[in-house]
Amino acid sequence: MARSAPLTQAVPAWDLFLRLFHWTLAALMVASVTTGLLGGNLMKWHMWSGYAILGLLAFRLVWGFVGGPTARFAAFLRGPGAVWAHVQDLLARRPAFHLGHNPLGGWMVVLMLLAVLFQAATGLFANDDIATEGPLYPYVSKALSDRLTSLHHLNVKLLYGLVGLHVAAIAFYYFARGENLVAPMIHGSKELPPSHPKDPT
Amino acid sequence: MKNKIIIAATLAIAAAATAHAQMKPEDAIRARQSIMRVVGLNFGPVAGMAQDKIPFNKDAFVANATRLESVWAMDASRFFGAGTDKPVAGSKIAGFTDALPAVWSDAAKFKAAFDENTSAIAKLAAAARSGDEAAMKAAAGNVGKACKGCHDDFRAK
Repeated sequence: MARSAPLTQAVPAWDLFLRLFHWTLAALMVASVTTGLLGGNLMKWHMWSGYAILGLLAFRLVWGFVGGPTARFAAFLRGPGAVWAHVQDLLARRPAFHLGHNPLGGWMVVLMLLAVLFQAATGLFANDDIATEGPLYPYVSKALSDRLTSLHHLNVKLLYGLVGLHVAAIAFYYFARGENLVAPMIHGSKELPPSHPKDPT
Repeated sequence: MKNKIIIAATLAIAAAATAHAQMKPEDAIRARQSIMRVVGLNFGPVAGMAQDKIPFNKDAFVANATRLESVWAMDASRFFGAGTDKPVAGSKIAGFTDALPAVWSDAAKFKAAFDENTSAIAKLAAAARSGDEAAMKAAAGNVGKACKGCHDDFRAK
């Protein structure tokens, strides 16, 4: 066996637009939380950030059908059998390479996207009883807007939890399984064993 | 025994007289909500201009900021007396209140948060009189923050 033979191969994992989507969404979520907590004139940017997030989600929906191989819902949304198999890999500390989302992570992505969508959508109808009203506030009753505003506030806590879980999972894969998931989301490729089949999951 | 009855009756009359001097809870709830509603009506255009949601118009800004200061001076914080922490049964005008228990359990902090806005509104009115557009907009932002600061802790979301 030649000493120069690589132990791993760099395989394209995340397409450029998916990566841009990910980091733009992360930045906008930080911007939304910051402007929402501080209030005042920053509420103007809170609203723009929300619109931009809605635009990103629309892109992600389309990209789930026509994007890169690992971006497609059909590729990463797996049945309970695959999810359970991945959990068993984790419990048994077996190596398990997935080019894109693993079967468990795929559902986490859906959960996060839905929670973010819920946040942005309720914001459209929200009011803060100070000077900020979502653009669709005029089309609903004050009572309904108040309820959606409450949910807008409550869902923030769910988002904190999901983001915390997301980051904790990445730390777990890094420290417990020696897999760096952050770098591929930056430069796009993953180091996989040469034997690994180049299927999108 | 007779003395006790006389004392009790005297106390009851005194209590009734005191209660009579106080505002009814439903009237107090309505008073504070009415003031806050008009505060909001005057702050809305100011905040809208400060955030460039509506075109800046100095006269309209000054008029609203000046009225805001006057209405705020009616001091809604006076109307959080006993019995105003929940809707008054059977009342058509005090069917709800979003005031949190912290208004009463942490009254000092509530007063401080309320006064924070008194000071922010005074600065807004001063900025409006100065006629400096940037200062007016910045001061409006600080009023919004002061409103939020109090709402966050003392008003149900």
